[in-house]
Amino acid sequence: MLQAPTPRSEVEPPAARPSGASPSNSSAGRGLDWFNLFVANIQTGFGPFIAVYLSGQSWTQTSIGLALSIGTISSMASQIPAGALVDAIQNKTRIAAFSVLVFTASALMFAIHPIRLFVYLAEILHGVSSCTLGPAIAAMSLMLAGRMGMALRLGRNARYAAVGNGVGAALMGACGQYVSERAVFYLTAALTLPALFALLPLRRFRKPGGNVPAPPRRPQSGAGSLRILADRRLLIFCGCAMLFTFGNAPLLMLISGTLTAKGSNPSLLIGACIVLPQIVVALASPAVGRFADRFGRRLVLIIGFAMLPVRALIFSTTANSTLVIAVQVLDGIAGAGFGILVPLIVSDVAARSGRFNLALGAVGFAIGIGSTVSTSAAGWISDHFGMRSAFYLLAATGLAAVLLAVFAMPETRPAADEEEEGAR
Amino acid sequence: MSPPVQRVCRLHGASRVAWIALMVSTAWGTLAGCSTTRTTATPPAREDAPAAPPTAPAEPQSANAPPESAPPADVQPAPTTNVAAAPCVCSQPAPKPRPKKHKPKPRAAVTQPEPQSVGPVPPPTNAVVNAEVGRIDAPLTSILGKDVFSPKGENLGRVVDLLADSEGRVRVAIIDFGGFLGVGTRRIAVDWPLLHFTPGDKDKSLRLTVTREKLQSAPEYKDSDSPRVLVPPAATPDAAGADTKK
Repeated sequence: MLQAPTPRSEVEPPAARPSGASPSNSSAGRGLDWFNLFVANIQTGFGPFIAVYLSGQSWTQTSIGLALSIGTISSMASQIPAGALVDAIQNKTRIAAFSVLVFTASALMFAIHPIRLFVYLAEILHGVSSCTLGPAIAAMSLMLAGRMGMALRLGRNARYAAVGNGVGAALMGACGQYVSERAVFYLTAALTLPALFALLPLRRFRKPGGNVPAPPRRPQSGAGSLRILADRRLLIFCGCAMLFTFGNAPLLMLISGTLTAKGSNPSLLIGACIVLPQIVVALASPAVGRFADRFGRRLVLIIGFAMLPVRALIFSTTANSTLVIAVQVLDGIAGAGFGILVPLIVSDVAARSGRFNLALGAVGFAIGIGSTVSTSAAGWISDHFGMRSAFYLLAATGLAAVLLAVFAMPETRPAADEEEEGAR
Repeated sequence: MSPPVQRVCRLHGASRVAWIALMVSTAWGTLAGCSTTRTTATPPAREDAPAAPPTAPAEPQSANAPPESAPPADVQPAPTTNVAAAPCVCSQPAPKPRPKKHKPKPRAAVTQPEPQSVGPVPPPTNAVVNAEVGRIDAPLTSILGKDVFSPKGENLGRVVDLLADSEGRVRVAIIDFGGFLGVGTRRIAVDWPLLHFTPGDKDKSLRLTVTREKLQSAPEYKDSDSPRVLVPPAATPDAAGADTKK
């Protein structure tokens, strides 16, 4: 639709094939794989565990809530600006490295001296640099794989990120349980080092220069940004993403609260509920990437979204731990689809406009709103109308996401002629 | 005076009067329970009941139910154990009579106000006392964020909040139970006398005299003025039956 005006020759140079024809390309690819893994590792440390850690530091619930809100707000506020910033800076590897270093700093602040000033600061730093890191990874992927190889590349990213999430959750869970809660943050900080090392081949990859499509031409004015942000496909996708996240985000929280109330080792069950979907994502992602290339993004989107209402409805009828864990496989499928499609659809829509990261930031913003609002909404509904009503609400939202994808979301896969041109 | 009390005052304000009256009638060990320095593990707090003259605030509606199962409130003067039960003299506003919003609890026994039994009479809220630096001559322990252990030694979670009644006495501890990396934790309110303290014990200074299963299946604590609380056995019919939310 609107992405046409840019000349395509400079975006798809023949050397930037997904398969990794040149040695530097393949080593850069491996670097990106590992980078994804370690970043996912690191992000596990910054999850809800922070609340546990701070409560162990005699923080009151109010202060913990404030700290977490500061983190949420700063990441929400910086999504779109951070996207624009990543667009504006040529060297994406440097952005990624810088973001990781900020992670190191904020993990160390948590670990060494969790007083209010440092915790709030660490939350802000982490929130902002997450917003630059996500787009930077996507941009490096685009740089490495080109627009045509993007689906496969993102499948690989998702695989390694899932491994990182799963391993990170297990590692940090064990660390918090057997070493100390503070040690979790030292571990997080330590994990930023291998992440930086993983970036080295990517930095070298940029040097040869010729085969890297430097961030495509930059529209001169803000008009380009507006045009991208007003792209109908992007807006509809933002709506889908927001609805999906709204339904998805509180689901694990609700069901794990129920799991905690019974059984002999609920923590282990919850751990399984977290890790199992990651295993599924790791196994399924490359196939999902290929599937998205062959059958189109829309179908993957619809299948992935459809898992959500099914899950929510099953959770509403049972809290049987075996069944709950089994149903988490569906979460893995949805997660694989969604994780790949977010950057993929955005790259379909915006890769040639030079506003890729801005558009990614917009989707990230929509996702952020969805998850923030829904966690409180689902909590409120389950307090006032019972857990089952909350599950119904989440199922309904998931269904709405499916319907929006079915009836409104257009296919964004590059047209066949483009694709052939890219594949040769 | 004693640090725990002051902290508590900051945490939560007054709770509902009828609830307090109920709690007082059912858990006679309140005063002993308030003592953060209590070292003996006396599971059902009722054993030291006579030693704990509960003092309900002199509020209008507390007079509408006759004393029932509870022994007379003024059996004995305050034990000299420590000062932890002293009414909060910090910034807490004076207990004000509130309209009763929740269901009447007919069984709530009335306890006569007996302010002097718990320590010095609190000065008017806006008065300034001439405080001096001193020491509390009892071993003290910090509570917020401390791990709580079951009688069997299992880690049950940690204390994340304390609720005080309108007199500033700690009545309820909120325990963060379970979860994995912060996902799926449940906050459960337990009656203060269920907690036992051994200040000398570095690792396991807080013990909760209920089983893990009991704590686990208790209703989750939501921020509300009259939460459902895990109380000692004899009191359960009242507490559990009175407040059914769902």
